[in-house]
Amino acid sequence: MLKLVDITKTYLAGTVETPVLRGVAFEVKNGEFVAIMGASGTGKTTLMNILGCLDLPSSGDYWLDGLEVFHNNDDTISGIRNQKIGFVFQQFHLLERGSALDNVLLPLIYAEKYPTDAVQRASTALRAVGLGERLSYTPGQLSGGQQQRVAIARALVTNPALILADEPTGNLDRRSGLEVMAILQKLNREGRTVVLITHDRNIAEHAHRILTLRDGKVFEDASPESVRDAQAELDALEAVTVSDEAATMQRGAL
Amino acid sequence: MRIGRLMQQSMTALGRNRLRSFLVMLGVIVGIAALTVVVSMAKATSLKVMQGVNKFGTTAIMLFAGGGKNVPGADPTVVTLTLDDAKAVESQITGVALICPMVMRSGIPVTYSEQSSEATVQGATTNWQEAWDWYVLDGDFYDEQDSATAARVAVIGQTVARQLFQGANPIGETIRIAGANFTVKGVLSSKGTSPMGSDMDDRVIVPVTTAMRRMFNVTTLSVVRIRVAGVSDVQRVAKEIRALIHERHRIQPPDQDDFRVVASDTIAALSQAVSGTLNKILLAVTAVSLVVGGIVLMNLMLLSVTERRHEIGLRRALGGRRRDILLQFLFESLALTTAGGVVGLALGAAAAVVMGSVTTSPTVLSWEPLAMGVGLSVLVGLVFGLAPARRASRISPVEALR
Repeated sequence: MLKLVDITKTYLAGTVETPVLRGVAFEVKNGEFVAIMGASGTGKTTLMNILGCLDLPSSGDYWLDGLEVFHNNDDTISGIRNQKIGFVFQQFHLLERGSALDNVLLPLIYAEKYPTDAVQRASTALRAVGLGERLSYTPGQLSGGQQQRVAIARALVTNPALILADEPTGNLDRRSGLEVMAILQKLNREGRTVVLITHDRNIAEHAHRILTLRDGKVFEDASPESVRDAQAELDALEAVTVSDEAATMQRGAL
Repeated sequence: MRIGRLMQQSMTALGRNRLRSFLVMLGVIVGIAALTVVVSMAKATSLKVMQGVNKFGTTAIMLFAGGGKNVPGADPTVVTLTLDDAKAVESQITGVALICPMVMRSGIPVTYSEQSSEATVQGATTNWQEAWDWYVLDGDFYDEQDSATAARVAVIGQTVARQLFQGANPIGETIRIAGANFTVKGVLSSKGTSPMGSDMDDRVIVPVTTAMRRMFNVTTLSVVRIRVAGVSDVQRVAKEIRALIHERHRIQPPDQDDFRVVASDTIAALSQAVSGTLNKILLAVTAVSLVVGGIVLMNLMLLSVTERRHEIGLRRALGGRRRDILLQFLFESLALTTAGGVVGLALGAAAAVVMGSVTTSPTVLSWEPLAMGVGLSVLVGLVFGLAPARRASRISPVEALR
């Protein structure tokens, strides 16, 4: 599905060369849920930009869904981003004044062929993330967690081969973060390939496989001892809250 | 259509920042409104010039006594233009259809019982009507018999008729011109104001013989009105008249002319010289304001591009090509300038109508400012919108999403 071969990336600052990626190579199979972990400065963001076809590597090949990406011109690479990749960003990156529906429709605007049922597809995607009732809400009228769910719907609407989530819980509280992770896990169970980039081991452990970056290389490629289930964690959190509330109410009654 | 979807994105983006959109439009609105007013004024002027030329007569040439450029008519102190000069013009220059030698004096008192008026008296040959293409409305023009006997008969203009007779029938009545009795034979139709702005209906026409011998006691002419066969002959005949009179009056280059030849094209040039300069200045001001509007547009759009880096980066990440971003921003500029142009046209047209009715400078609405306005606003949008659009299209998604 996705294959990186000896990817290197070196930044030039004046005459000083700073190598960030020094030969990253791995494969992700169809339907996998992979987390890429690393402390800051390990080349996580650079790798994410390359995986997302947003930036070119200094050397190496990248195969995505049977296509060699970087031997194409900018227009074709834009088309690949549009068709093959669904992005979920840490900062959500929604258009502030557009409705949830407008935001989800955005990738379709740049599609080779605008689907006749675009609005229907966007509404379906929003329903899939539990926002079927809030199509006309603007980001300002939605909570952080809801905004990130709009972003996930936007990533889904083109039916991409890969969902690429860059620190999707980074700007969210614990509960909203778990909600987002539960959606990603659900999408993965339905067969979607998900690559998650994070510095947080607790988040990474929701994936079946964790790649750890160190010094611009894949340092470790392993499965977590036990895969966390976000929905179960949410339920547990719910139970604690309910019992807390019950306790509070009891105290109030006494 | 992808283009249509991009346009829609542009419109939505403009709606999101109405104040900035309005500020950008303002420059174009002012420029196009000014342009509309100026073109309406220029149009009115050229229409006035055309009317002036028509009034003067498109096939007419006037040979005035007296040189100098600033004297509008004949100079009464110059006594070198003779009947023989007029006859030479008729016999020696081809293409001359007729000549009408005249003696002319203005500010002559004319009275009838208690009423009085001041008139321009023209002593002219009997072909005056054909020479001016101006005919009597009531009564008759004087005839050869009157001319031969230097009869005291007159044809009067509408202003004179109105001031002396106040609606009563002047035909056959006796009026006093410069103290002598004249019988009114006819009343001319109305001609309105001359190209130079003076009343043309204050005329009293008398036989040229009467004027020369009995009234002004002169042997020379004030002016000869000449008509040529066709419009295409005007320039050539005017040139030949100049040459002929130079020869007859023995005028060599350092000497000043003691005559002046005015043709229909001279009238047009004269009228346009006055208003043309003003219009050029106004057009320059308009051009400057459009350029300023364009620069304001460019700066605000550049600012907008910087402000919207994240949006641009997002659009690129979601699959927007460089061209798509370029087009979106170009459409934004175009939409703003075109809308500004339309508003400017409406305001300018309204201002032109108000100006035309309130001030003395007339205005004429026409399709030219419409076409120019729309064309120019699209041009301003394209020219000044291109740089910001290009900058937007070159933003790297990686930088923008950071």
